[in-house]
Amino acid sequence: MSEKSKVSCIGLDVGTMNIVCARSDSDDIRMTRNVFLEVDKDDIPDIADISYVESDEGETYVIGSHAFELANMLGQKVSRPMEKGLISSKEINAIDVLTLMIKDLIGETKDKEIYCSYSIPAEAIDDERSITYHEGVFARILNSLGVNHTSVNEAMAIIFSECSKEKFSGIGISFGAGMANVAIAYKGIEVLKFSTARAGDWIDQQVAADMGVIANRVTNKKEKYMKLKGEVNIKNKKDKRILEALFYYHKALIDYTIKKIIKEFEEKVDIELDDAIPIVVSGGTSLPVGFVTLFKQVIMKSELPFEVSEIRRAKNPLTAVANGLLVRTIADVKGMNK
Amino acid sequence: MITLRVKEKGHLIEIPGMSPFRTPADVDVSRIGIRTVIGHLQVCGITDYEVVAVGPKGDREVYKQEDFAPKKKKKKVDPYKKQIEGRFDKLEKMISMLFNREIKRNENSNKEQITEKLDQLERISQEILKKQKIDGVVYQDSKKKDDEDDLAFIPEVDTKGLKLKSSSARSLKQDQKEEIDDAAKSLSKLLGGRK
Repeated sequence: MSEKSKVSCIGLDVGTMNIVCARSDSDDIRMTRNVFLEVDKDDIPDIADISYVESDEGETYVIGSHAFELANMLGQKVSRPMEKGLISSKEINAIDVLTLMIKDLIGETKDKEIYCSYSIPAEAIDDERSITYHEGVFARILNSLGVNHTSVNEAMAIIFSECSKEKFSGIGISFGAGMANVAIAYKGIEVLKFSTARAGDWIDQQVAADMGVIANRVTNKKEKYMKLKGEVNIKNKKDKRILEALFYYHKALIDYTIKKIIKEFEEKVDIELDDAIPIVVSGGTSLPVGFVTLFKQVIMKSELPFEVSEIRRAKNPLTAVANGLLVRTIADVKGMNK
Repeated sequence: MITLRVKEKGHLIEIPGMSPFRTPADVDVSRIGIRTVIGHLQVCGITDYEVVAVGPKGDREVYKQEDFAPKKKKKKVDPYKKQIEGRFDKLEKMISMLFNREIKRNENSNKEQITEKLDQLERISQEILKKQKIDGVVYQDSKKKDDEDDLAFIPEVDTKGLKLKSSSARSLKQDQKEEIDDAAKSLSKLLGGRK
């Protein structure tokens, strides 16, 4: 094996809902749902067909999308290792289960020098939790897996993956499950970054409270049927009401985020951007058809303190952050070899 | 018609292209370039004036001194410089906080506190030196564990008692491989050029 092929670069997007891993020496991007569900093994007859982790003490944790499906069937809430974009304090076993899931995603590390950029959110402007513990825990997890690592802001990763033609100038917005992350970059340098604690989970919780259902179910309906324009082929009246409420809360989320961008820019950015910059929208919450159109409609009503050249969606909103992190890692390793 | 109305008394104004006049006065400046008029008033230090423009249909618009004042442009600041300045500000604040504490507390507890802080700084510096630095980015080296005795209280990530029975990962085809490589090349150039 040559020296060159011994080095592998990784981009690891650690999201509240999904963990996504892009690797320089792989033709695939691997992802899993960042959820698990503790079950009694005897209650699940088809356990062999689903993904799970077993402890020496006999505890069984169903992991990934199977945990989500099973919880929906049983009307239970899944355990979430993360909430609002950060490691959760509620789940004691989360870190160990999460480590196994990340190890599985990263794959083979033997005989390789692995460099990894992992995503972290920016400090939230509307929530008091700090990112320090979260960042430290993931550094610890990657350390235990023998991976050299550094943390990179999630929204900057979107700029790295989607704005190379604009020389890495732009606004990256990641509408994830736990947070909306925003970064403004000028020629690859971070000018402003912040996050808000309102994103996909906030929408689901508000709709669940309004409709009297559990949030998992709202998430499920959203992912199956949600469209923000055109007709939706659904007959059940309650489901129609859920979709109606989802539309209102998507609009409210976009409006809230845009207002915060304007406010933060006006208060904290002291430079005049010479050129118009693109806005790239990404993240799982931006997946429904019509999200970008709705975003454009809302932003048109606002007076922006900067010029926008284009508003576009990331090529793949689910993998943009992982790919951007991979871009960053490869660029860093290239720099190391110079 | 464009009329200049100066309310301040006692000025003798000589605008090129028209007869000199004393203020207060209302004079027709339609034939003179408005920039010349405003520039001249500025030089004379006259601020209390109005320019009244009456259109052919009788519509009337009044402009005051502030309407002609040059708009303040935002200063251009290198974002990197701004970032560095912000960090220096933070450090300055921390140091001044330490000094303030020094004044308030008695000498003995002060010595202890400062020694403790210096020890802490030394530990942090050593840790940073042990990290791998790539082109300005610090990658924490996973193999270097010799310094971790100090951090024994942090629980190890322990997965020995856990077994992954079947993978939950799904694979998507990586269809942006070339774009990623190209982007990484330009990012490396961009960041490398800034060293």
